Amino acid sequence: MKKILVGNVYGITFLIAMLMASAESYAASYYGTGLCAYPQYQCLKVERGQSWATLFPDEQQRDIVQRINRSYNSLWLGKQIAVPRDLENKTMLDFAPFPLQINPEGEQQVIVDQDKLAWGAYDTNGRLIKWGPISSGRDKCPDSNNSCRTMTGIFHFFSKENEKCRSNVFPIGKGGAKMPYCMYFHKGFALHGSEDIPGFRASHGCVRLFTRDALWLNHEFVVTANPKINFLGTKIIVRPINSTTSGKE
Amino acid sequence: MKTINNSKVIAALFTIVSGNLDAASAVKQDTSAVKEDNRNPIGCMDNGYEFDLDTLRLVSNAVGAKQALYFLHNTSTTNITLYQMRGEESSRSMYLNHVINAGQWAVLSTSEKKMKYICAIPSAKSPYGKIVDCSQSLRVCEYNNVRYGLNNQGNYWLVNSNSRNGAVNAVVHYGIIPGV
Repeated sequence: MKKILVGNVYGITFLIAMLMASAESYAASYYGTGLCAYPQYQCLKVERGQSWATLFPDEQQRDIVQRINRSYNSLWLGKQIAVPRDLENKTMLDFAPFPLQINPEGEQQVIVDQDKLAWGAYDTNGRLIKWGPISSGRDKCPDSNNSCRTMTGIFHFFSKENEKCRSNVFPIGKGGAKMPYCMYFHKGFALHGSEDIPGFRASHGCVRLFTRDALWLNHEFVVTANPKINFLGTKIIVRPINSTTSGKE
Repeated sequence: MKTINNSKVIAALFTIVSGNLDAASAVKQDTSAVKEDNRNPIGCMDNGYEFDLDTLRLVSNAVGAKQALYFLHNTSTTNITLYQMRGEESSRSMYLNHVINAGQWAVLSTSEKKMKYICAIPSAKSPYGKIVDCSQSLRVCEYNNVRYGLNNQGNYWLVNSNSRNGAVNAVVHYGIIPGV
């Protein structure tokens, strides 16, 4: 009887896993213009001379709209962005693509979801503290024969650096690309700040964040491994890509 | 004239026979290469796993180790998809599902004490494939003495799908097992 019950639990979980995978493959409307179809949002076409600052003079509202559109790159004429109809008294958590509360597992975690193009930070009580946009590894890089996709799995941060962090690989042959507030989680893969978050997967394999988010994670959240006290470092879960849309320009 | 004809016949026969011998030797070499690729890599032990009701359970046998390293060989002639099963649901749970190409090896690095997988082969009827008995299509072994650095720990597929030597070389390159 017990065996059957255990089997059922596994079976249900397996079914849920398959359903989740199926749902993820249609997860095209979590961000950006994909949200325009929903009544809570309107689509705005950028006109000549408009910028993030002129469109949204309020810094907090600007921050929310940039997060929703998964980009803070300069706007251009004709570019479409999704804007919530009601931004009054809203915080970024009102628009989070992650659950605000999950089962506590007794440790801090960073989730990187490459389909939602977002990261989320959970505290030890399973509470979502902060989230933000990402741009992870593209399917194919112009300067490499190998795939540039970000390594997926469950890892721990083992090293971090300050705003002066630089790549020793990219640009290929020279190195020196800026990776402010880098936080390494597996070999050369890291989370780091970037001025270029275009709203799709565009990196060589690292996970780019808004620089202000990288600073917060680096200073306020991520603790690196300490073998002396048998601590592996803050956990990071990099979810695999199920959707075909997150890599499209 | 007759002598010339006879010698021509003998030459032709010799060519055919030697051609067949070459072909036979090529087949033998191919078979030995396949056999070579079927065997567990040196140091990879036949333990740390069990097949249970068509599923594969990975239960690390390495005493005191935080990380386990498994080599999985798809012995069948079709691709196999491994769907991870979990005993409990969590919104953060990540399923380390994976596809191993026909006849190839994959390497899983894990820090979980127990992992369970269902095996499926491609099917026209379902995008998830048809569930099959893992024990009929997989060969599994575990490295018991593995050394991880801080920068390569965690749960991830270290080798996606490769030949046996290719898989071993990738793990050596990671610095987890020493090179020969």
